[in-house]
Amino acid sequence: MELRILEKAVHIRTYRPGETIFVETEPGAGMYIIQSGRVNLLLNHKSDSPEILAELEKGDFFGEMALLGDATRNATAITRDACDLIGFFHPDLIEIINIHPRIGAKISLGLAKTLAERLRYTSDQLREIWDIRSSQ
Amino acid sequence: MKRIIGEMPGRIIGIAMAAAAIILLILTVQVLIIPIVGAIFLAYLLEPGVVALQRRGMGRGNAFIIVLGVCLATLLIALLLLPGPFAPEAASGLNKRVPDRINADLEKFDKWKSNHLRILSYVNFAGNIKTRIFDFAGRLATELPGIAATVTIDILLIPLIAFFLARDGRSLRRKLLNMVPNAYFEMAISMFYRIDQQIGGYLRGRLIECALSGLVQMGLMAGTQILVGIPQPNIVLISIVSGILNFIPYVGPIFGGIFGTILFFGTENLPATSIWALYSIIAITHLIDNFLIAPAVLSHNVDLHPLTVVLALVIGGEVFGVLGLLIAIPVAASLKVIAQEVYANYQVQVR
Repeated sequence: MELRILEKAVHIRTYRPGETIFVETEPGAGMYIIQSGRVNLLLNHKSDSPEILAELEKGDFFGEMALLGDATRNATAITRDACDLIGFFHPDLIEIINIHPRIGAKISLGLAKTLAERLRYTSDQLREIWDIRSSQ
Repeated sequence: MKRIIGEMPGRIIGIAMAAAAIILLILTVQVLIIPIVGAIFLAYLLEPGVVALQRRGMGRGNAFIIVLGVCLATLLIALLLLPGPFAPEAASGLNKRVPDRINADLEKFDKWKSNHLRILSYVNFAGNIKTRIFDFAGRLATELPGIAATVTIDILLIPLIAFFLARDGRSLRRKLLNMVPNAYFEMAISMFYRIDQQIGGYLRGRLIECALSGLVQMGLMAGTQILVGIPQPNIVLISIVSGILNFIPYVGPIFGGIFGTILFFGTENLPATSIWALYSIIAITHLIDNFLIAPAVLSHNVDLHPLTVVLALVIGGEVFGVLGLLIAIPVAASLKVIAQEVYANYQVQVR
């Protein structure tokens, strides 16, 4: 039942190899789950030496910050080969919260957990940098 | 100039072409535009009720029928159970009384003019007004069956189209979004969502505002009749029509006043103070609406500059008449959202 509701809410999009999914600093509308293919997340993609943040593959997801709404993209996402992506966007989440509040709460909780993990990881990295600096 | 055009992103050209196609479509289906706009309004207004029933596991189509049925039944019961001073009065004889009253008043005005404004004695105000009014009345009489048939068809079509919009609107939107190329997909989904939010918020906010201002006018008219003793006929009819006309920003209350005046002209032995009292009531209602009701109800509404609102109304009224006045604000708000989204994406492209 829950899966059927989610299936109705998401969008399946097909991308060619090397196609841009979204660009750093542009307004984001939601997240993507990789159904097939591989995706690169890049920083400064327009520069001569863009930095690869992550190489993602089947089952990975990205862009989840934009699911909360009013967020700009922190990185650029470009496909490495032909990809099928499942898009889940802010308006779809709001609709689920309105019509199926229980499912909406589960998704929101999952999203909060993911963001908390990312925040903890960033805090750990900052602490490591701080420790290195203070030991020097 | 050449450079700017050269750099213009494909999405702007695409959106401009889509907008042109929509305008062309609107112009070609002008016959259906009133029921379609009415259906969109109705579907948006009933949406909270439909979503509430959907939450209880009901399908959107069935939920829409139930909400519409409940609304119509409530309206009917409210009209049938209205107490004494609010009960609707028969407007029979209106067609006879109005011309007689206009005739008598114009003759009075002619006499007053020839005594006090001799410089204008050669201008036949009364004659001209009379000719125009009777021309209009004559045209109205011949065109009335046609108008009545069109209105009846529209009234039947509006809930029917609204039902399909409520039931299939979302899947239709998904199909449209599926056709959008990847590069514009996120922009399109945000645009649809924001337009939906703006139009829905605006229409529902205005509905509450119009209902409250109608109730305020009804209360003031009843108070004037019961407490002050100045007769106010057709309180419910005039208040409901004024409330509905209030949907048209700025000029709505004036139309309400005109409607009230016509009904007052049709009522026998009504003192002139009744009409002046009605105008005062409409003015007070408008003030209460602007300073108390609208700020409370429309706080999260379309963010349009007053000048934009006026320009939108003028253009809407010029192109589509009364219908244009009704749709001007939602259309202007939608165009603003489209412009903002396109501009935001354009900024990213040129950065």
